[in-house]
Amino acid sequence: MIRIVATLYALRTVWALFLAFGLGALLIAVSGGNPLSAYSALIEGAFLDYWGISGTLVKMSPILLAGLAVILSLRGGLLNLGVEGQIYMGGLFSSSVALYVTGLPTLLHLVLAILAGALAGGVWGMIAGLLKAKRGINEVIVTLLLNFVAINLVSYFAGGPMMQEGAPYPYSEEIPEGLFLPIILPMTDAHLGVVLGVVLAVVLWVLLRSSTLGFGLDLVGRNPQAAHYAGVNVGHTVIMTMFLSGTLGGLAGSFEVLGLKHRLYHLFSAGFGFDGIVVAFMAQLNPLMSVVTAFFLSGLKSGALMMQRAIGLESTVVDAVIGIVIICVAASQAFVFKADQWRAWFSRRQRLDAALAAQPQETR
Amino acid sequence: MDLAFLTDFLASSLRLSIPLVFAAIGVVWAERSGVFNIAIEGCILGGAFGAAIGTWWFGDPLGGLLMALVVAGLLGLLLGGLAVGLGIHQLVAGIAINLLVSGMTAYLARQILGASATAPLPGFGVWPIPLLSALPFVGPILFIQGPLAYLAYLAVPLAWWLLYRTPWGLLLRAAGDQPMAVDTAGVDVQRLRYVSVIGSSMLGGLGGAYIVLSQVHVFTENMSAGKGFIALGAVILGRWNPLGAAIACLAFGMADATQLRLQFGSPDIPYQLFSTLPFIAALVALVLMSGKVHAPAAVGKKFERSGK
Amino acid sequence: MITPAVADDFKVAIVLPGVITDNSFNQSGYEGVKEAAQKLGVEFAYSEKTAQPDQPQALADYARRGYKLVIGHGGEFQDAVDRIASRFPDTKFLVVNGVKAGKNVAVVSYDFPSMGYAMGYVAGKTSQTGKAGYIGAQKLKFYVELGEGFEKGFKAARPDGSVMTAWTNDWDDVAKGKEAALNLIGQGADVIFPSMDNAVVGSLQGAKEQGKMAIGIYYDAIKDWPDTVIQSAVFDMRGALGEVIALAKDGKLEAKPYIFSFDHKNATRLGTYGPKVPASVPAEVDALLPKLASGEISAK
Repeated sequence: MIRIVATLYALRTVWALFLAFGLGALLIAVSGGNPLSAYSALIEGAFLDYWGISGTLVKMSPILLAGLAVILSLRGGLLNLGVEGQIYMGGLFSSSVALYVTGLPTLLHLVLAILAGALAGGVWGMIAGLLKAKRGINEVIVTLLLNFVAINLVSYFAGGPMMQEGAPYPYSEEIPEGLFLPIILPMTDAHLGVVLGVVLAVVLWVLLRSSTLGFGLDLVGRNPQAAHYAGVNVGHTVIMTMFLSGTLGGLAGSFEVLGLKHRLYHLFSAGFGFDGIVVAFMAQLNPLMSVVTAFFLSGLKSGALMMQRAIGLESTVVDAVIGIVIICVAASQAFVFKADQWRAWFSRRQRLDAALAAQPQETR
Repeated sequence: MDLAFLTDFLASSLRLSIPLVFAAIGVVWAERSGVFNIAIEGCILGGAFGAAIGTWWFGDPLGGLLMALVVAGLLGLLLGGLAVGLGIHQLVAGIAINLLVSGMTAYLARQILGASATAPLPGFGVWPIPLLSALPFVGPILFIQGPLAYLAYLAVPLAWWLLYRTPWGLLLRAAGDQPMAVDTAGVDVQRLRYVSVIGSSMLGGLGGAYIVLSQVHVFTENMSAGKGFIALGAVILGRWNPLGAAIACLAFGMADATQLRLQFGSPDIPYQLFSTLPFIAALVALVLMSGKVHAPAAVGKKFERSGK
Repeated sequence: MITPAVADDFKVAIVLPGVITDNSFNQSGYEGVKEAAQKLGVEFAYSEKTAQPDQPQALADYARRGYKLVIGHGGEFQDAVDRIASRFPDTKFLVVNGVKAGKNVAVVSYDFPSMGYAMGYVAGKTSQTGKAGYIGAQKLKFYVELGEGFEKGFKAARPDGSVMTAWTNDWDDVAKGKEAALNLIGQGADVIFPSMDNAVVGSLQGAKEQGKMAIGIYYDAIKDWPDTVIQSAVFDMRGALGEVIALAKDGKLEAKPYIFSFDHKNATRLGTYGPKVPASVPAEVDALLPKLASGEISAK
């Protein structure tokens, strides 16, 4: 009995989704659509056909990496709200290396471009870590403010010094074709970035479980005082955490440029950094789970676009449904299975039943 | 620099900072009670939406003001339910609400307003204050404004007085620093936080109402444009004190007005660099003021009575 | 599984970067396709608010669904269209405000400099202070040209006049659009020409409150701002898109740039004059337009 209850609890995200899609169906119906055909378009568009899956995987690359960045920071007790900015810095530096460093063998050039993006994101994140460790400044607000700076910087470079001559929109020249990340599904835009993201998820999972770095990070996250007594340098760990977290964000930006856009565009990230927060919490800060939640969220976003196109739904309805889904999933996380409470309740019930059985006549 | 330019500059700074002031006082209120209100961005947007819908329905900006408070208040209730009631991570709850509001307001605006969505709405006109508005220099800047601006002038000292000079303010601050002690004293921490979050969100809604009813007279999708996040920064700069936060908001307004003017004054310098100015100013201010800044101790933490 | 679906009927789709209710660029594109499709009796579809990372996917998806003409609404689609067009050689693509035609890619754009010139001329003849303000969001090629044409026209009407320019870095922030207008007015401008998306409303509101004049864009804005707007730069997407969609339906759409100037009244024309414009001006401008269209007067 208690196991059934536990399973019901474990599936709470699923119940939340049912509730959310139920509410969403209302909105779709009100705006004159047919909820059933809308949802079947969404699911088909996200997960069931070749094109749909490729669209999902394109989005999953930045969303998963952003999720990992958030997870890493939260495991160290920090919240990196600046993944969006780190994505932009990653894209900026990767594209700069790709465009302006010449004369290298292609593979080396590619690795260098990726590293430049990762490093740029890392340094951008480390600013917040340094300010936190040295001056005690809240990292949430610093990363949030740095987002706006990074976005504007990229706008400046994409529309200024790096802009292609005569381009109708702020974007740079195309990077050399040899530096394009390989496409993993032929005829689509799904690129290697998502595979690297999954690999990094596994690496992060192992690191957090079994390395001294993971141990120090976890300890600082849980109890900085204890970490200090255990000989962990809390300041260094904070700086390191923000650097590594920023690195992951930078990679997300790097892969967007090298894998998808092939140019530096202004405003090239559509809020992926914030999607990462949702992914991280849905996965309960577990890197392996985040692969699943990132896949789900990407599918939802990609499928929603498909749904809009397939049955002509307005994009605002789609945004509203996504908002409801996120609220419901977030709320469901509060319902944690507490075995003790349920066990106590069951045993109380059993005792009551037993007592009733003992004196059937008198109660009649 | 001539006087007309300065008057114009200060008036513009003030206009740009008033939505921030409302939102920042709201954030102070919530965070002092122990709840991060990152949903303030959504509350501004919700308030703007309510203001437009209400004005359109009742044909009167007062109706708009009312609806702005209702919509933002409901959002506050939702945030309270998620963050205080269910105890899920406050920042996640806030981000989720922001996403919801951004989608829902756009959706509802089209459903309700339809084709008239971008037609200008009636708003509050300018109510010059007799005598004061005739003062040289400060008169035209401060006292030829709409009613919501005057409300913002009043809200700042009122919030300060409530927070630091009343028993209720003491309780509120304690709920954010030492909730256990408040609980021991027999006061319901959860209820206090609910009330604070709802009030906080309604203040954010007022900020949105100001944008629609006094500034631009129209609702457009995602018109809050990050103002809530700037208010969050202002609160930290203002050290969770309503007066400090309001000053920080003014500074942001001035930075914004400055960057707009710099853009015109020097068209050769890329405008994107000016656009980063308010944010860089905020970062520099944070660094200069560091060491003295600390958040309420229990903010962001779910309150659970021991011995449950 | 990977073969694209094939349909016989001509269908047209448009992918828009912004919302279809902005009373500006996006709305006019949406309405253009809608009206053309209804007139020609063909099926149409649209995607609004398509964020940049989603653009290639949106274009490809329509091509796969058998749409014969897929339109990217805005210069930012040029690159995505080029890439997707090579994958779908049987589908025609169109970039609005694009710069480069290709094998199955056509480009539609307007004669922005000439339009700017005409507006500048009207503004110069009507202005009392001799100063006007042009407000753009970002320094994209066409909007820079529009502003330069405006300045040139303004000075042609008023040799001692001057035009100030402001870039707000935001297409949709209404409050910022208003601040920019107030600022230019504060510096003496009495005619404002905003060219953003949603943010245009803010600039017009600012001009209205200050009792100054403004120029509308994309549609005849005088109906919403009777006291403020003195003339509108009507880039009518219905005319332009209607023409190219009809060509595409008949299979006659060529892979070339279609540039609409004042010789295409259905696509590029003036709106209604406001009451503040001196009575002699409309006739002067009417004489000007053919010269602009033919290139006799260069607005660049």
